[in-house]
Amino acid sequence: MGLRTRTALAAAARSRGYETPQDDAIAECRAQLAELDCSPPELPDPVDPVPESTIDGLQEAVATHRGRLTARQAVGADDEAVQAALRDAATELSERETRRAAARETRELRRERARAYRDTLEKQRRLADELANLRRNARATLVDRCADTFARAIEAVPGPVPDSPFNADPVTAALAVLRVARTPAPVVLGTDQFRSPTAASDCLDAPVVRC
Amino acid sequence: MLLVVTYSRAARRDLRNVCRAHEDCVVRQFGRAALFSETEYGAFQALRLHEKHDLDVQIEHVEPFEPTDVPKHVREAAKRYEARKEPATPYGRFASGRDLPDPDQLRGVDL
Repeated sequence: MGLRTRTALAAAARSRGYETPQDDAIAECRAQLAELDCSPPELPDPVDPVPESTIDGLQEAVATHRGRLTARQAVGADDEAVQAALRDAATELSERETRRAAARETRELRRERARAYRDTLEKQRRLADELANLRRNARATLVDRCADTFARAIEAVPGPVPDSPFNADPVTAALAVLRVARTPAPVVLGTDQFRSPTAASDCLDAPVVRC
Repeated sequence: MLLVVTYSRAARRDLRNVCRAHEDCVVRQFGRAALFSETEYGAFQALRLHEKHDLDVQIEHVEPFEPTDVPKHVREAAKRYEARKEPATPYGRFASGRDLPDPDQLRGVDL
């Protein structure tokens, strides 16, 4: 029988309406956890970056064509072909620059959203840790408050008497926890330690169903 | 190097498994993070984790660092502050009145 006696005893203490100094913080922690939106964000598809070398090359080409155009115009030579080449290079450069800007923007957006999401996950982790700590402390408080009652219950229920209450065998411990707890719903017993259902009901102070 | 950080239990478990199975591309392993070597194989292993766990796996480029990569006044400030006589003095108070940058000034400057 896998009984975690202290956890069960803490639940029994709760059934008796016991509270702990940690209760407010526990509720606060739970509320904060519930408020966190941990769904992964939609990210724009990644865009391949435009290599700097491409832009550099195009800038160089534009400068070269411009130089050639100036030279041809200075000597009054035909500059139509050079003008066309300059236009093409300039158009291509401007397209690539636009694409580079878009790629950078997408990259930043992806990083921002991913970071915000991971910040939330981190917060969730911290809150979950905090909640676990608080609940552990609350459990210890509850077990402390019930320790004497539990010791008396161990003596009252049938079964071998242990050297200390928390060393009781699981069945005896479970019965003692049940005696400590307020149990409005019927208890189902799979043990033959009681002489009769009535004896069980009296000892555990709980409704017992005979199966 | 590549810094791989995990944000879920499942991702963390897989990171541990990758680190165990592919030691050759792992430079260092921490609890839920690891440094992979700056190789295509290191990137391959990091991307596998990212494919499987999406945003629960963060991959960052990490550069090697030497103190000399930082301006001299910053190094000097760290050195003198750590040699201070009164351990309880916060840096801001320590810096004022001395020939040292104040913390806000440091915060405002990218490396």
